Amino acid sequence: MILTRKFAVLFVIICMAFTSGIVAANPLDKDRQVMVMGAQKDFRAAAEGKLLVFDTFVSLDESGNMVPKLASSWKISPDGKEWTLFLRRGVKYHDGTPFNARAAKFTIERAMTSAVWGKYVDAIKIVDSHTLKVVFNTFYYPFLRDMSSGWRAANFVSPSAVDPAWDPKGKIVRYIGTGPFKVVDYKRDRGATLVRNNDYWGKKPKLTKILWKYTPDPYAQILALKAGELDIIGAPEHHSSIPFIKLAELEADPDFVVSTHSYGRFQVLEFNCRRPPFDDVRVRKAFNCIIDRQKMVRSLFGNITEPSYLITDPKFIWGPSNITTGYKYDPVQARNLLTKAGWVDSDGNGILDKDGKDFEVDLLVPTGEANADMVALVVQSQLKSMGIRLNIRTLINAWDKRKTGEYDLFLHHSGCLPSIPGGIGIGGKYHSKGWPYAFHSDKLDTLIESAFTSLDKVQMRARCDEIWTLLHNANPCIPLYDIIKAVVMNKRVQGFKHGPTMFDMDLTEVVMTR
Amino acid sequence: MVKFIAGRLALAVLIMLGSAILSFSILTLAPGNAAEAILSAERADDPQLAEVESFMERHGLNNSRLIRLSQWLHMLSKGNFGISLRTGEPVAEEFRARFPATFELAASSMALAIIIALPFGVISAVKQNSILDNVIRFVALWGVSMPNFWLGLLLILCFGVILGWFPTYGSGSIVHLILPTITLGTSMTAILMRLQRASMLEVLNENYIRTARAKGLHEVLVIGKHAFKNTLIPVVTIIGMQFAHLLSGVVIVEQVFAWPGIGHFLVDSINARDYPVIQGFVLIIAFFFVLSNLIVDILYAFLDPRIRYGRTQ
Repeated sequence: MILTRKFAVLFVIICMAFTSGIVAANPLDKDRQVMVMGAQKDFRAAAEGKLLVFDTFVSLDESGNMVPKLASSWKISPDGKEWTLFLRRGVKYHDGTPFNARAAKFTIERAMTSAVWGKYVDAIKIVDSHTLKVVFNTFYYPFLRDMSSGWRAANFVSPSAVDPAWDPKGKIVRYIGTGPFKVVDYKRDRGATLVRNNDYWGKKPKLTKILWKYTPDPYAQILALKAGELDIIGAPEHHSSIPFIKLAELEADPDFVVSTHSYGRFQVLEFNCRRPPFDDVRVRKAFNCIIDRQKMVRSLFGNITEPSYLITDPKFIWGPSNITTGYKYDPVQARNLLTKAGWVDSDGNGILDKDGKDFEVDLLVPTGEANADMVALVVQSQLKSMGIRLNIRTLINAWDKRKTGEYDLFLHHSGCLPSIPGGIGIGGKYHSKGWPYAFHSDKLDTLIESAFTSLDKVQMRARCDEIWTLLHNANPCIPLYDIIKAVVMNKRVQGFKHGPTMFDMDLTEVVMTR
Repeated sequence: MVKFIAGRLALAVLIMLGSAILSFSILTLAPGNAAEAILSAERADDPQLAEVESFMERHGLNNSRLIRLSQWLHMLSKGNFGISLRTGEPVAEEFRARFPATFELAASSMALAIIIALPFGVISAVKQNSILDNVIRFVALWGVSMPNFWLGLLLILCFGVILGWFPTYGSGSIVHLILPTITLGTSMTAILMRLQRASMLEVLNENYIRTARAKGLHEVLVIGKHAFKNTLIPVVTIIGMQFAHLLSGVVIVEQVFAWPGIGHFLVDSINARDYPVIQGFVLIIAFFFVLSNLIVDILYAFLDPRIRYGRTQ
């Protein structure tokens, strides 16, 4: 009898433990406007999370034009050295600290501790309560753009939320910004709770709460979405974090919506232009003719993404909009170009050769590059059909090899916003201060430097046209396909929009329906 | 005994230092660059050369290996593990925040393994070659062979998505603990079960068991009192080793279940070449290995009187 009673008590305790756990596990509040977002990064490690909490001086549109945010306007002196920022009035940090010129000065000083342009700043002058003048010793074109990015966003923290307060080198102790959402709870490697900032200066979001859930495994994340424990996945990642192979399956499922978006970021194969065989432009051109991008993309990714035929997306303000004909698949021309360059199969072994050496090149693949292995294999088989042997080397120290030039081809991606896309910025991939073994020429350097030190937009565009004509003809890389970003959500989430850069998401119109 | 423990703890300090210096040397010789890894992960783009150089300068990564090692040892002597290059937080704090979760999962998986493996291992040996024995051996083989990530995803699909009994990710309550515990505990249960069975079979052939049976002792007493205790030495050794191994983090289970332990963080830190975190964590993990071995040694003395008497003599 006593034993039975003991068992009964034990049973009740176990039941209570289970039910309390289940209640605690249910992330959905009674409030309907709560969105549970699965993220593969910890909240504080993600640039996307920071942009929900912190506002920046400006944001960018899809083409790369600056859009006012905390700076309602700005003026650059004719010599480009003085930037005057006119700050938005009536903005407060989540802790009530007013946002003004003094706070903005703190933000810039904070960014200067790690930004490349820090060494160019001579002085930061407070003109009045909402006007700030930044004096540079040289014209640095990307200053405000760099400040608009997700990786700089935490510099816009409230000066009273660092320790010691108002110290630009102080440690952030609380995540307090001026953005549309406030952080009310953060647990390392677990997640964060964000609530709507009802005093937000801009358009207030309709969501009242976001639960940021750290879920690092992509496959487990999809299962959590299917179990109804997450509402949306993929939004707080820069790339497509969801395996492409699962996207087709999710697209076919009527319970979910898959939304893909192009940020003009292309997967490319960079040539080592400083050693044979790719120091010869005819060979580089031939390679661009050998790759059948359409076939590659359809066989690997179906209709999820599109092939790319230009070095970078023409939609950007500095993009190759003047180039009307992209690289295209043309095996006959490829054969002619290779023959002209001296590559023929003289010994009949099926592999082209020149001066007694077979045509054999190394493709360096950095570990962790998405879809890289599949892509490398397709490239290998397409080159083989032309009599070229490709060795694929997947390495963790690809960065070191890239600096020392120990590669023929390098699997990489084109840069995108907020940086100057296409690698044509000063210090970018195709500038001689960038990648040591990418394509460079003195003329290109001069053009890049003249384009990005010019304040005249017409002149800048004209220089960009010249840059792209030169680069396109030089065939510095093989563009392959558009690295899209995919977001999957359940049917409750309505009104989600992709942000203008891969670090942003536009949640202003998002509502959770029943 | 006290002298023995003190001696072992002193040795522990040397082992920890040795492992820390070794891990530092291997790390600095390994290819990869912390500045590049951290900056490019942060911005999903190539950092400019100037940015990489400025990062390295800020964090003293340009100094020679010897200088960095001595700086680190100097800091360590003051009880300071340094600051993570990636998160900017103190390494000790990064460990402290994550270790309880790892410990919780390791302890529950170990408890599950012990509760299931020991009795079934004994039954399997006692009923050698019976149907029950074959079933247990098959299950053990299956448990050893099953990859963790696959079992984890399968359990999530079954009990999280289809049946909806358990949450699919996260931590903080008993229900959150169940699926990760089963995932992690399965292979350990299988290993222990096989070991317990083998160990039991060996003991059952000993003369003193025959003696115990000959003097008419009840079979339950023969197995439970005389045989079982003598099978425990190898089993306890493996439990100790496995537990220390679990405390060093279980990356795949933590990743699949979004379990906020040290394993996943450590692997991310290794990928990012976050030297202070790797060195600090290796040092602490080495301590746990030494500690668990020490506990195993002390347990030996309780399990085997010969060891106990040998020491006191």
